[in-house]
Amino acid sequence: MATAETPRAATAALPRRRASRRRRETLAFYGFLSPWLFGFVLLTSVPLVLAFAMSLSNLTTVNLHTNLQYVGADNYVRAYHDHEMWYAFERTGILIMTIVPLWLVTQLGLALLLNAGLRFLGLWRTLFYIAVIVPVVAKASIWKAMTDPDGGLLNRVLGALGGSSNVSWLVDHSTATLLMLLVWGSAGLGMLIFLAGLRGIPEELYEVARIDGAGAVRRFFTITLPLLTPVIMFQLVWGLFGAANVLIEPILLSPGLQSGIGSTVPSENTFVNLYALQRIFSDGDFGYGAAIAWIFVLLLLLVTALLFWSGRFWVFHTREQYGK
Amino acid sequence: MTQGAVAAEAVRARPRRRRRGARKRLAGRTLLHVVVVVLAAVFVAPILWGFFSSLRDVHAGLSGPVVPSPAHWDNYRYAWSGEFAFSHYLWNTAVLTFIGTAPAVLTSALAGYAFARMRARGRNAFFIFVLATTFIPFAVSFIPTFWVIVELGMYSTRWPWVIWGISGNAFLIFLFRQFYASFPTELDDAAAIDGAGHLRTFLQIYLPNSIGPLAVAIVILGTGWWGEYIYAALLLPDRLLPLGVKVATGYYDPAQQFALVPIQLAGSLLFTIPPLLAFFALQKRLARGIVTTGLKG
Repeated sequence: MATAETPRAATAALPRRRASRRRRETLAFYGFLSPWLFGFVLLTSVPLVLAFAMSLSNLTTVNLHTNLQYVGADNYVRAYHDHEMWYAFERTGILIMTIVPLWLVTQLGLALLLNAGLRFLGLWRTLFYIAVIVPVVAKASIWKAMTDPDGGLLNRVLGALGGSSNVSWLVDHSTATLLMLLVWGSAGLGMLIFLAGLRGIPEELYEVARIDGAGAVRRFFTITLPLLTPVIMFQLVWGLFGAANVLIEPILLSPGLQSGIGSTVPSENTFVNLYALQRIFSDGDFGYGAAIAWIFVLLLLLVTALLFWSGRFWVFHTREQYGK
Repeated sequence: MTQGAVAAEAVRARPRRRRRGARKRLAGRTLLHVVVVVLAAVFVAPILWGFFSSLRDVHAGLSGPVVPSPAHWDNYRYAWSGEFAFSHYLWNTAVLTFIGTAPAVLTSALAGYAFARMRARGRNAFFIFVLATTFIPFAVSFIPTFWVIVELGMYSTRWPWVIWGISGNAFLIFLFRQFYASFPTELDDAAAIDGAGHLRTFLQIYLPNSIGPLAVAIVILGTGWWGEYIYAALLLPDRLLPLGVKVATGYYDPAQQFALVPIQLAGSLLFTIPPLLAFFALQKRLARGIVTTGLKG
């Protein structure tokens, strides 16, 4: 992305006039971006710096002006010895390792299905996508009804298949319930992205392969899959961040929500985000919560970097996508 | 917030009919349609189940036939007009959605224009920076944001939504930048000859010609704020809460501490109607927007 002079700039006659025009334009450019910068500085960058400062303090109240002390790395040392925190990390890891592949398989599977020349394509696409539009609180209400111990649809199906028909999903299988909600509620999004990726593959490639006598399976593995790898990478990164940011769904799925945010979430579903939030809002331990959040972010950055690095070995780069 | 790209791609992904090798594939095609019907049923079942359950007797649990009879449509009336004050919280939801969305769409378009059409030192690096901010995990941003909001005296007010609204949204900036980058430059050359500055060019040429993307942006951001839960739950007092929070906790029998499940479902589904309508309205709007873009490009 080199900055090239556009023809319009080149036509400006005098170099000096051009220079002052450029300066004015730069000024105007940042003026146009000032609303975004305003919000970013006030509600993102200032808080981020402060979060790090907080994590080095003994801040235990919202009020900054009382008994604030610098405690160095104490919060980080405390986190290192906090078994509950490591358990939250373990649960987060398990969630990520489960939901990301589940999303990928569902999204790609549905996209391939929709791309196979169906009748009423628009109808099916809408039906797979519709859950994405449902607000998260309604998603949770729906899945609470689905998993109801007596009379929920899941237990009815299990009962009809000869299994136990009064499983207490929200209490005994809270992560499984969460996974069902997440797959159902977000797969439609990735499906559309994959569908667009599939449409982007030139039809000629398939024609040529067909002429060469390649079967459907062969065509999938030698054309479709390699050309989709950039989309798969995109989905993996988004999936990773989506899974890492899962916070509201476990809160809303917890039995006994009315007794306060996150206070009754089963430990199975207490992921790092929620654990940090609980330290702050249940214990008032701002400094410690911020330290946990930073540890989480650093680990997440590491995983993301590894994921991008691994792309060298499996993401198929074409000139159109990466040239310039 | 990948919904934007998705919505845009959804439109681009028009059905493409391939020539089929006639009859011998009939069996395969039939199987394909059976599979898609079964899967679609699986995806729609939770919504239907939620709907049927919302028609059950409040005191009878969820047992009984799948389609309850008699259907208790009263649940919807109760969800709307019981002690819950649905319309009060609906108003709150509308206010938060409006102040978080309307200015954001305009300032995002402005920033998208700047990234697409203005030459400035550090423009591309800045663009990457804006995109990178969408990757800041909620865990690390929320807690200090909460603290700053408290320090600025904006706790239990709607002011944070005003600021979020003014500052726009990185993803939408990306959306508008992509859209404006494909605009024909002849228009701005003509405007430049008329002596129009960038602001006038943006307001008089670009903005009126981006009804499609504006509609998409409004629906994406609007449905996001409509269903938003965590900021509202932690920042606002009860009288200002939106439905996104109240529906989860409001429908309880105060004496016995159990959820009134059918009524809560009725409330949830009522709450889902506006985003659904917006989505269906968007589908057409999107198609039209793409058609006009195609004609221009």
